[in-house]
Amino acid sequence: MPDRKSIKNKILNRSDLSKEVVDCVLSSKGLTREEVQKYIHRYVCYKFLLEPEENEGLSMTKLADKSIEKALELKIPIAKEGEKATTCGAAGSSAMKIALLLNAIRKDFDVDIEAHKLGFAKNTNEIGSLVFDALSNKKGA
Amino acid sequence: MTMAEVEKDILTDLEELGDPISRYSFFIECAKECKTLPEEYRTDDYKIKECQVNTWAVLCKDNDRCHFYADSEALLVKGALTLLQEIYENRTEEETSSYKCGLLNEEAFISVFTPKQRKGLEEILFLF
Repeated sequence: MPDRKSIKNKILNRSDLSKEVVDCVLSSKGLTREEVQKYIHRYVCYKFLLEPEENEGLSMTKLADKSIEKALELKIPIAKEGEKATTCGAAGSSAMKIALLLNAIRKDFDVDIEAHKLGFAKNTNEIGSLVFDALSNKKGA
Repeated sequence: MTMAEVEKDILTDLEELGDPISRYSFFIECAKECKTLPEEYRTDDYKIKECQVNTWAVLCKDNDRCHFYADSEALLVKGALTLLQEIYENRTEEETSSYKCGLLNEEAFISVFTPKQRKGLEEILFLF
């Protein structure tokens, strides 16, 4: 039987850390673009249950793949080989995780970033840049 | 715990997780712990027709105890199967035949699944 409580607590702990990141970003004044990018990287890694320091410079796809690998303790492509979910709502688990993450960013940071812009962001730096611009526009408005 | 208590406990966990990505991660993590489907059941006879990906499920009986074996090529569905296994595994026939699982009626459980995936899960519950 799954050790549900451990799984749940692990996710909740990471969720709490991601909320701290959101609070930092939204309550800080005068953050630079680079600082927001670093915060977004931490936020994404926490949501993906990864360690920020060990996953610098990776693409969103790679981060999502690593998140699934870690969850299943399997290496992709073995995990992907066992998961032929492309016909299941036309999205594998990695793609779905990215989609859910991008929705979470819009909601948690309360930013209105066009879905296609977020969707085309290749890495956490690009997402961070979009969040920075959106937050700057809000403050300037 | 009774079947109802396990179901309620699962739901409590999902409600506590709150947001879609946390719940999604929860199902994916649970998928790892799905009880292995014996190879003899990995055939068309045990395939769930409503599932777009290959999903197998079978309820076996052994000395009045039920054993639920399942697998899916979609990790999210596999995670759901693991949770259903937790409710149904090693229960008596009397317990399983009189029990009606309500997870598919609960937003906290069902919200991460597409309509097609929900249909597949409904078909699986018909096994019981």
